[in-house]
Amino acid sequence: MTLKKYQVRNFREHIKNNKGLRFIFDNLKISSIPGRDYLMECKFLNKPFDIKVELQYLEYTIDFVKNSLSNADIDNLNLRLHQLNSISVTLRDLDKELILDDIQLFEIKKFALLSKSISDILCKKGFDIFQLHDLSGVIELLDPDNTGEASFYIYSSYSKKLSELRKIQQQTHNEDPEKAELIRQHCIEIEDTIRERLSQKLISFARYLKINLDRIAHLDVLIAKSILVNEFNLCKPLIDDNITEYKQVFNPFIKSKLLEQNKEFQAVDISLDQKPVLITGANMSGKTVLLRTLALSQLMFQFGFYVPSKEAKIKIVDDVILSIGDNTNEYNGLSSFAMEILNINDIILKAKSGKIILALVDELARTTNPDEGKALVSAFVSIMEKYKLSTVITTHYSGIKSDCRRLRVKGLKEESSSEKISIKNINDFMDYSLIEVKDDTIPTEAIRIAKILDVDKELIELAKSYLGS
Amino acid sequence: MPFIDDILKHKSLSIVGTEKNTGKTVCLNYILKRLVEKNKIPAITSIGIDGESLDQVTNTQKPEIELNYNSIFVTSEKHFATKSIDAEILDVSNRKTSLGRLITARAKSKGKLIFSGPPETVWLKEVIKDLTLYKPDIVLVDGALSRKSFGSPSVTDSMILTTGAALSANMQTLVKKTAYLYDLIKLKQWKSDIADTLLGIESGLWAIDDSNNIHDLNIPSVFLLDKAVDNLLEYGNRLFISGVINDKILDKLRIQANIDKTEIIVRDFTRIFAGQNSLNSFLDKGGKIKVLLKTNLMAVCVNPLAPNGFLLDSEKLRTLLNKKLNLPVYDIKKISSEEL
Repeated sequence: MTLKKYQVRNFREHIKNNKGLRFIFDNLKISSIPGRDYLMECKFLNKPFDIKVELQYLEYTIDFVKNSLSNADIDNLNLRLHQLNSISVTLRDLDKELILDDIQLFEIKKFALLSKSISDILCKKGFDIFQLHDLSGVIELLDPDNTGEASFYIYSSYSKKLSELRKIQQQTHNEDPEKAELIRQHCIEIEDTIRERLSQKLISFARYLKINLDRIAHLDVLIAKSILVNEFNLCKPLIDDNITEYKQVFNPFIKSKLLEQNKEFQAVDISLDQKPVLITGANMSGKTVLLRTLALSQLMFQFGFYVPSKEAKIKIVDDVILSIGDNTNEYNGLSSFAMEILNINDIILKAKSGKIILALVDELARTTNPDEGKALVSAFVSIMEKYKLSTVITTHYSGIKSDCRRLRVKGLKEESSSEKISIKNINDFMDYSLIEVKDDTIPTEAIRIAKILDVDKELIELAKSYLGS
Repeated sequence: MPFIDDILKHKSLSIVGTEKNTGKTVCLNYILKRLVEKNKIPAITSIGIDGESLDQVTNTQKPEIELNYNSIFVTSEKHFATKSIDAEILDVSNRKTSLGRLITARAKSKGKLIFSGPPETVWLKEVIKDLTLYKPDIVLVDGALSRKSFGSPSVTDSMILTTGAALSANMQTLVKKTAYLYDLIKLKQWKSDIADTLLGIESGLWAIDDSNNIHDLNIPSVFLLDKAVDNLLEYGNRLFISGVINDKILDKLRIQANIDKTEIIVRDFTRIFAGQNSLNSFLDKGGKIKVLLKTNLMAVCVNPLAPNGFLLDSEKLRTLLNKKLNLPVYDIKKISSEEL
């Protein structure tokens, strides 16, 4: 297997594969179509400067929305953002110096007017991270009658000749339809020369139109991100060169699901350095959720969002690879084991090519025989250790000898007696926090969990007796 | 000058033909002309992509609609480009139809235009609402009676139905078919908080339980009923059918035990493709059919001329229909020529 040419995926591609990020996107209140397009096209940021700037913008916007804008201002701004059309095709045509049609001229005029009124609101309120260019030249050109209304056609005031011909055309419309049609053709010729003239004059504004569109779209995204910060209680992450460390990290999607059932999500602390981390823990102790949360948080960080935790220091990576073993459609026709191994291979190849990866692997080699499985896990951990990548692997295998850090989910609380626990309330009896351990043994609670799931008693009893022998 | 004053009492009106060539466009043009004389400003749109300049069924010329100065209209990008009228663009939709985005504009001259509009009901409702922002005296909708169209002409407050020899050259049959449509138009409305939700559903059969929860029955349409008839009444006796209903489902439900408690909800009268016999048997046994959108039929307009040249007696036809429907019936072509 060869390494595919490495490409940085944008937000659109990431939300296709990551349900957590999709959930974040679904909860973002972006008002405009250009805003939505802007976010979709955002690249996964991997330069400290880019992330720093975006996070500073966001911090500024949170403060600006909170302290400088009244509710009426926000409504006003949203109303205008909502009216924005996606005019990138028109701007591309303008860039190619094509002649624009009435619909395109309308789009540009409407955009220039909206841009002006958004700029007015921002200026009045002292928004100063970026400014919008003055487009009054565009408005003058496309609003010859100075009505200030967002509507457009080839106005009679563009040409005296056109104005006269139109009058005659209307007078003859009923009496002499054939003549009226001839005059109309003549009018169309004049209109075309006006379109050409307008299009040519607009070329010099193309750059500013594009910049303003980008900035307004960006502003829309920043406002949406800032609302999300309050809604989900996100925190501003710090950029760290070496380690990733979360205090009270949580998964917004699962937290909201639990909240619907009046349950609480237990946030946990975790830190990752350059040693691979092996996480063990009983079934249903939240190991997979933890991996999903780490992936989501890393993605949010590198798309310039605040992250779901109380405090966070995060190391920038070139890519996040999450191997949960549920992406069946990607490698169709392969067994789950084959899929997983190809995923792992992808991580190793990227590591060897010098990429910095956050690799999150759920129960590596669980679908093959335990002896070989254990050997594969050990080998993978050793390679990750060698390349000093942030790697988190969950496993049920004991006796992994490779050099790594070991964390264990505390699991079922000591005092909890099995009788009271059921599949419905197991959440209340589980302690999801992580403890650092030195030995390579693993918790043995599979039979207990199976019992809680209230399965056939014969299965439980027989399993116990086999375990005893 | 009949019914123009009545029309103006409503905020919106759709004009719907029982068949192609029953004079829908003639009727619309007549109304537009009368509105001009009264100095009233209309806003006009159409359902879906009906408007081709050549009628594709009969290959007869489909007339464009004649608009006056200041009329507001919505049409697709494709038809906007072929207009022979000066128009000021007021808005461009972000969504696209198969003929491009929808353009809202104001006529700046007299001229002709082909109409196309939103292809589904919820969007059509939004367009009608947005048109009222320009303060027209009435919103007119060039309607369609097509099972292919997802747009419902019943979103308007009022309706005019056009019928004629194109529907049937036999006068008795014509009257009977038109009367049946009128019966369907008069079906009672199902009023509920979830009506708008149901309008947004574009396919499938759904059960609505007593607490107004909607359950997907996993039956894509009544044409695929055979496999799943057992599950039909799983959640109670109220069904929402997003597509059309046909004889088959009515016959199937009629023979069930609790037929007298059974209630079928459809989007509007245009979704009923069941024959008169099946429908009557269903209703006679106590079954109910209700619509989400109900409109007020104001008048019927007739075109006694069939596309093949066959001509019915206009006066006799009008008398018969008027007696049967108890509604005003007009022959627009005749009125127009008399007024000239």
